[in-house]
Formats: sequence, C-alpha cells, structure tokens
Amino acid sequence: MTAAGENLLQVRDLQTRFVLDEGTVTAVDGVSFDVAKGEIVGIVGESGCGKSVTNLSVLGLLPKPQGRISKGSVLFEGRELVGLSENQLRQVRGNNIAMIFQDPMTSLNPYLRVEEQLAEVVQLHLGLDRKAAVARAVELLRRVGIPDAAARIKSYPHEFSGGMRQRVMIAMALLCDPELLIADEPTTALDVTIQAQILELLKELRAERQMGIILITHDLGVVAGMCDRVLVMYAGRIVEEAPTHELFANPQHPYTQALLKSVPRLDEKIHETLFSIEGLPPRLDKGPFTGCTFAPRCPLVREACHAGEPALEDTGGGRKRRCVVPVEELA
Amino acid sequence: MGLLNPRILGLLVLAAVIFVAMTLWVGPLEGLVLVVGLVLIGATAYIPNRWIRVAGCIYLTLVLLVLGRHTLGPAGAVILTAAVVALAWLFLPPRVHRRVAFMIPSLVLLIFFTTILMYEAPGSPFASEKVADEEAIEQQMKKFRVAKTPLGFFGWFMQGIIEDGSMGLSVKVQGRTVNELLLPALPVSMSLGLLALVFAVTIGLGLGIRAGLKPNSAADYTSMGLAIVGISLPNFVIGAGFLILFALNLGWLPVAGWGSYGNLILPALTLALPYAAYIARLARTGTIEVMQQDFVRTARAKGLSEREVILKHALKGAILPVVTFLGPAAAGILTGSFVVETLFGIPGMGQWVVNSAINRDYSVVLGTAIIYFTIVTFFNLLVDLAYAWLDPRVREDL
Repeated sequence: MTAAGENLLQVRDLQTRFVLDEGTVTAVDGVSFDVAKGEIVGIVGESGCGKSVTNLSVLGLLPKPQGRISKGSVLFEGRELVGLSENQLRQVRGNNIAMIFQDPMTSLNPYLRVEEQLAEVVQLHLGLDRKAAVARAVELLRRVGIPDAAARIKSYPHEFSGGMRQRVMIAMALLCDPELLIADEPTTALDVTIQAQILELLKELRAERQMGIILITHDLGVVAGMCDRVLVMYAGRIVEEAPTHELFANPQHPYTQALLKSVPRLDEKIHETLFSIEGLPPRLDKGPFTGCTFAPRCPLVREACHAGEPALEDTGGGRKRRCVVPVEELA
Repeated sequence: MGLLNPRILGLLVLAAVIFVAMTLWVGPLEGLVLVVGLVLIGATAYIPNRWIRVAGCIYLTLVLLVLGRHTLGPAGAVILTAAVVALAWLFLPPRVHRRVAFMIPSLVLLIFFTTILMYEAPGSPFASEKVADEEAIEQQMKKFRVAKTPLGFFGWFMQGIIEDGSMGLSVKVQGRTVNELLLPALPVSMSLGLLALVFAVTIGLGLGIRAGLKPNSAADYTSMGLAIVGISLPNFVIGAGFLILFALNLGWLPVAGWGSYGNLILPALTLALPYAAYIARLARTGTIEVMQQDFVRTARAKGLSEREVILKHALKGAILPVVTFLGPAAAGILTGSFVVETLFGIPGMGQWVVNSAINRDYSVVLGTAIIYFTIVTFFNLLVDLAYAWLDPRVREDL
C-alpha cells in the first residue's frame, strides 16, 4: 500500500567525509534517493557500509569536528538542509524529522525521568506549557501501547523492559508529528516477539499519520515485511535500489544476491554450512577506489569490473543497479 | 550449609589467622578483642533491612546520649536523643542506618587498633635521654592515665569518653586536655577546608568539563597542562609562590595569620590546587565519556541546543566520577594540612596530627584519629547519597 504521494525527502549525490588522524575517510559517496510521504524505505547493508552515516548526515548530526558533508544536497519538503546553521537545523530535528536508535537501553537518558525526556521535546518545538506537554506525552505513550501511561511516565528508563523502552523512544519521536521518521535498526537489540510488535506498531503509525519512514537494518526479514522500497548499500555507495518484492524475487546485483543467499532458510538441511560472503568490505580509509568496490569479493568478477567504478544505471520499473555484469547472467 | 559453607569457613579461617597473628604480636586478649570487633562490624552487612533500622537507632542512641550528657546535661541529652532517633527511625533510608551501625563499632575498633599501633611503635611519651627512675615513670603514667598494656589504655580512654566526654590529658602539652587542644583547632581547619573544597570543585569542574567538551583542543591541552603542574608541584612551592606574588609583590592579601577573611584565601587556594587538578582530570574523562553516549546523540536529535544537551543531559553523568573522589578528598582537605597550615601560620589541626605522632602523645593521636575517621565516614556517606541522588539506578538499593 504505497501511498507514493508527494516527495518528502530528496537526497542527491550526498558525500560525507570524516577527517581522522589516519587520513580522510569517505563514508558516504554519491548517495541519492527519495522518500515519499507515507512510504517506508529500507536501507540494508553490512556494518560500516554507511547506512547510519547517511541518515545522520540528513539531520546534520555527524560527530564533530571530524565528520562533515563534503558534497551533495538534502531537500526536505523542498528546503535545502545542507548548509543550514545549527540553529536552523534544530528547528527540524525532533520536529519535522525524528529519529529512533538501535539500542533503547542506551539511547534514553538514565538520569532523567521519562516525563522530562518526553515533555522537553514538546515544550521546545510546539511551545506548549509543561502541563500540556506532559499530557501530550502521556497520550503518545498510550498510543504506542504503554499500559498505565499516566503513572509510568514518572518512571526512569531502567524501570522499563527493552521493548517498552523502544516504545518510549518511538513515542518520543512522534511527539511533534514528524513528517519523516528515521529508524536506525530499531529492533536489533530486541528479542524476536518484541521485534514483531515494534514493527507492527511502526506500520500502524505510518498508515495512521502518512509519515515517511527510513528503516535502516541489516535484517532482510524485517525489510521484506516492512518496506515499500529498498536501497542496498555497500562501502558507502548505493549498489542497488528496487521495490521490495522485486528485489527479493530478482536481485540485479551480485552483492544483493549474496546477501539474500546468506539468510538461513527453514528448508535448508541442518548440517549444511551457512552461506557467507567471503572476505571483508574494503577499508574506506584506503580509498579512493578505481574499480567496483565489491569486485574483490564478487563471484562474477571480470575484467571490466576493475576498469572504473560502474555507474548506477536505471534498469526501468523503479530499479537501479551499479554493476557491469549483464542482468541475464545474474538470474 | 552451616559451618561448612565455604564463605563462613573462609571467614573463620581469616578470624583464626588474625587471632594467631595478634597473639604472637601483642597478646591473646588483644587478638580476641580485635576478632570480636571485626565480627561485629562484618555482621552489619548481614542484618536484614527490616532490622537494620533497630541496630542503627540503638547505636545512634548510645552515641547521642554520651555526647549530649556532657554538652547539654542529662535532661537535654535525653530530649535531643529522643528527637534525633525518632526522626532517624522515620526518615533515614536503610542504607544510612546500615552505615551508622557500621560506623560506630568501626570507630571503637579504630581507637583500639590505633592504641595497639602506638604501643607497638618504638618509644613512649616518657622516653627521654635522661635515665629516669622506674618509680617516677610509673607515677607519670598514672597521672596521665597511660596504662602498661594497650588494652588497659584503651579501657581507660573509652571510660574517659563515656564518663566525662573527655579524651584525657595531653601527655606532652602540660596541663591541657585533648579536647582543649583539638576542639578549637577543628573549626579553623574545617573553615579553611570548606573554602578550599569550594575552590577545588569550581576550578576542577570548570577546567575539566571545558577540556572534555573539546578534547585535543588548545583549551584541553592548556587545562590538562595546568592540572599536571597542580598535581606535581608540592604545595609548599605553590604556597610560597602565592605568598611572593600576592602578599609580598602585589600586597593584596596578608602574608600569614588567622582572623580575617583575607587570611583564608591564599592557604585555601594552595590547599585546593592539587585537588582541583585531580578533579579536572576526572571531570575531563567523565565528560568525554558521557558525550559519546547514545543518549547524548538522542538529545541532539530532539533538536535541543548544545547548551541544553550539556547541562541537562550530560552533566550528571560527567560529574559522577568526581563525586566518588570527593569523599576522600573532602576528608583530606577538611582535616587540614600540616604543610599549608605551617606555611601560613594557621592554628589548625595539621600541627597536632604531625606533632602528636612524633611526640608519642597517645591521647592526642587518638583524638586526631577519631576526628579524621568521623569526617571520612561522614563524607563517604554524603558521597553515597549524592550518588544516589544523581543516578536513579543506584537509588533502588538505598
């Protein structure tokens, strides 16, 4: 049920660099994608492929002073975010674009009551007084399924279970009715049943508020169940983009194929070794790279792969891929 | 279970070892007293929360009655005790009661063990180059209530405290009681110490947090450089430097003495600097660590200003290591420093701590030990409570 309406977020040719003692690392290079209203876009890839950095860049939350956006543009509802001052960005953060993070244990402040942590957002962005802010916070806690919210809001984060904490995080993100929610591995730290509940909640909220969601994950199962569209990232670049069901049915990049193959299947024989991709992703501080960054690990590697970085080509039907191997050979 | 429980077995072995060692070193009676005392103290850890309040209140009653009787008279003592104990029963959390139940036997044991150490140390208050006859020494010992054995001295000392609220005569300072010597010196050291503590915390936190917010910046290197200087320069050098600069050359502050507010500033600064340096290093580490926490990123993602992120979300976590250090630091600062007090001519506790030990002035040594112990344990308790106030996760086991 893609309500692919107007475009909410437009990222174009984003490049993010970190200046470290050991040299400059280009963590995100030439990333472009769109998110429409009410759409859930998944970003998948191995650890360190630039998923999180891409999204921190959108909000200007890169660690300072090492990280900065060196190129590209981020349009949010037609407004350029790159180059905005810290003060201007703060108006957007938590208000129009909200984020939830991987580990709800550490993402909530252990020293402050949940009430304080929620109400401060409302007071800041909606300008409500304390009482109204708390009332709004209670309302949202109730919406995300926290029983006895009016009393529980007085608790500290450690008094909640992991799943409940992630619900608190989600409630916190929704306080100001954001148009876009960035969920950075929201269920990775939770056990499977809780995962399902949280994902279900996110889907409901999307339908209810027509909010765009960027879902960062390395769990392909989550992607299959949640996303309208998927971006596959590798070594700071997008290597494939496709509507979810098409990506799973017919991957057009060897990396995507390998990723899909490494998911354990129920119908597999128990004693068979699980498939894994040989080798490691390239170290980004060793760049710039001349050829395809996946070539050293690619089963289909050929002469052309080393000639130069393949372009992200449009293969029609909303699909893009960055590979020189003809699509037919991948089938 | 029972006696075969490895933990209890271990403790029994430990008690036996202590007893045997003490027997060989001092005597069997001393060994027994020490073991019994240690058992009493150790037992406070096993009293269930339900009963700890009873134990705490009993100890509190005893101490208040003894102290109150000599300052307020019997009637006043009873009223004071009743009021304080009632409040303690109603409002103090179990952790504080446990601490009281631990503190008071510990204090008694400290007096006992210090006595043993004093007696076992070479020399005695009556030793001198002249060969004195036995009889004269014995007379002296009787006059100053110095017993032959440590246990005897301990008994007399405790008796003096309980019966007259007095720690006895100083052996070396003619005609003065320990109370007369130490009680006027204590507030002097305390007021100097409190000001020094304020200096240490403000300077230390200011420099440390500033450095921690921008690690490896110029501000960081400057503050940490200053901290190294503060830690490594001995305080008589710092103090002398201050004297030359502010008292002699600039003439802003008096050189030495006691009585005006101006007299406080230079010694307090001198006393504070090493502690400020240490606090700065702790605060820097704490700040760097907390600023990397996920919840700080969350706070930024909410759109809070950097100022709010730091003051509201990061500060508490950043100062926790400093709070831990404040217990021993406060005790050290408040009991006075011999060097600083001598340098600035201040009539504080420091002189008695050093001189009594050198002179084997037994009762004064015990007096300073008691004061030091009380301040250390009191501040450790304060630190624990502050910790619980800062970190709600700790609050639960209160």
